[in-house]
Amino acid sequence: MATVSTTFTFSSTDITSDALSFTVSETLSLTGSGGIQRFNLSDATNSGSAYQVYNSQSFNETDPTYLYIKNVTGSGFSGSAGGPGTASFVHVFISGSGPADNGKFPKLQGAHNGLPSVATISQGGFAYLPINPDASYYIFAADRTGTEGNITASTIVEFGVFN
Amino acid sequence: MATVSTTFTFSSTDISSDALSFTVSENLSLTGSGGVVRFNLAAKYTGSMEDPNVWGPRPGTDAYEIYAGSGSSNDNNPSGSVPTYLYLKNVTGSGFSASAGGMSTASCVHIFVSGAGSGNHTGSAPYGASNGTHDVAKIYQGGFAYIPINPNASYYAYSPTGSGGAGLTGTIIEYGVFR
Repeated sequence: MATVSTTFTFSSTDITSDALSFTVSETLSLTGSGGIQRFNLSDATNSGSAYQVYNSQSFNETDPTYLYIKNVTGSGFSGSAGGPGTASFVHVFISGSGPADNGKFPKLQGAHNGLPSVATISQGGFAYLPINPDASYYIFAADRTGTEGNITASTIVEFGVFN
Repeated sequence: MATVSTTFTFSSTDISSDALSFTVSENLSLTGSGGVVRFNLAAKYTGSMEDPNVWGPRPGTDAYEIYAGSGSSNDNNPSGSVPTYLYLKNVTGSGFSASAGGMSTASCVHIFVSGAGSGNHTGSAPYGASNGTHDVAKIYQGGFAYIPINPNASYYAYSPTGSGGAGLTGTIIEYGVFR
């Protein structure tokens, strides 16, 4: 059984005029393997131009499963929010897909309008999500308003699913 | 304008026989204030709740709202333009660094999103008439999540009974929303 350590540090010296600083750590006991992949969302061709990062019920619903995803678009890997109108945002949403969903989830509809985005990751930003193993997770690139046409450059993501 | 630094480190020496170690950092430029609060989910909801993945999405009234979305139309295209971040940790139990916990007895915090017109839940019940999504995250005891959220959607937390994990004796969370 593999073990993975995750540590998250959140710190500020001026938020609400008080210092804010904390670190949380978690040790994951994993039954499967995992790794990090890098993908250009402009190459996404499945499911209405969205890219599936996790297929529903690939793992048992009681098996803790974790998704890490980072928007590495642009030259700076530690960039802040980016311009809301033009920067590439990675939108994450969940849906069912095909028979694997067993009817539990609405299926993907049209241009991925089945369910609302659950996360919007700006350039340089990242997310760490203990996911619902019963759901499928998809990502697509758009600006913050969700308009894909404004994004002309590639949107590069790196992600990993750990179980 | 406040600034917050977030750093996330992910490391393993044995996963898939290769060492895995990386650290990502992000500097948030925040326009509002934020802090971390601690809350007992049992104070909001103590009754039995079946597994939503079997019985369909939850309405927002069955859970604790941790972020109120700004959008009146909760489709897939958020109109909110202010980057907003949610940190949430399940601190239930004596160990704050516990791993997954027992699947059948530990309190598991479930997160879902909802809002006016949330999703297009066409088809028959149960999801045809519901106003929330299925779970988007399941946080076991000692676990945490960090999500750049959709400012248009509302986010809810609850700890259900049923196969999703039991939340009978109080599930303590700490969370913060930063924007």
